[in-house]
Amino acid sequence: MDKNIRILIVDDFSTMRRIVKNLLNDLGFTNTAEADDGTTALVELKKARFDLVITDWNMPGMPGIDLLRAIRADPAMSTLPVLMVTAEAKRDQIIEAAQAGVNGYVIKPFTAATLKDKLDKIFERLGATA
Amino acid sequence: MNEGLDREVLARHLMEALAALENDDHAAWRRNVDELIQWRAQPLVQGITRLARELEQALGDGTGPASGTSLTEACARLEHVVALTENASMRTLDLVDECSTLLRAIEPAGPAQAELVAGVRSRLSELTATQGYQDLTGQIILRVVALVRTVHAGLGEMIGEAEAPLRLSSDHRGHGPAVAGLDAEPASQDEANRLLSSLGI
Repeated sequence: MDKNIRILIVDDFSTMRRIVKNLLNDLGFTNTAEADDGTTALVELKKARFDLVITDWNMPGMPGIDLLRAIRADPAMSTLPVLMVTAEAKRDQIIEAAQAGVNGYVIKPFTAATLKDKLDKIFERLGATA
Repeated sequence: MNEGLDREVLARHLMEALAALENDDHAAWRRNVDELIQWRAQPLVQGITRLARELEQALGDGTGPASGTSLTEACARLEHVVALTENASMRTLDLVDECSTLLRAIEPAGPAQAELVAGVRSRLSELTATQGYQDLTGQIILRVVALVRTVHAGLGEMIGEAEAPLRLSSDHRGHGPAVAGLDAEPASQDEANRLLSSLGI
């Protein structure tokens, strides 16, 4: 696994952005950038190439589900892996995210082990389809 | 309110509305029907006004009449709690960072010590993840703040316009963490995994 992949962390809470960033650092991924909602995330995504987006769902500006749909609708980044890390835990929301094309779903509160497990699963699938 | 007088006024408006209808007098018809609607809505408006006053008093300090700003103050206090917990959480993360730096300076003398260092490092990662409580409690508090602000603004509008609906926006932007006893039971990570697995993810 290339540890130098570029990862965009999207969450309106700075604490959660820092937590995800630190956990990624612990796993060896240090090439990260941050955005505080879907709108600012799209700006970052259009500025530079990213290999993975980790996004919250519930944000004051553009929510994560709309960010996911915008990514899937843009031919330039429609295959970009998206991991949702969110407190939204209703069955119909998980199905909605799946139908919108999410690659993984972590429910807050989560453990470092769960985040690692989901990232491994995403990279494993990407490796299999590459 | 005098019930006899009420009945008399009501009957007069009904009769005048009927007469206006028979005479094709649209202005008089509308005026009398409006009076009837206003009469009908009056108990609702009075009830809402009383509720608004009681809500203000309940959220005030209870030592005097409502200031009219206690709802706003309540929101500010809740936002202060969010800021305090965020600061505490950031401080904890600073200390975790410092511990990680100190840990990197340790050169394990053998496999047993290396295992101990790895164990501490793994627990520091979990300590970092646990700080996510700040995000979860913050989301719940900010949702309450949004509710109080909606009630505050909505009550003002309703007093002027009785039929205006009062509701929180319920769109697809999410609802925040589920609260036990208030919200539907949330899915666990295992349930989410099974659900996603059944959907081929």
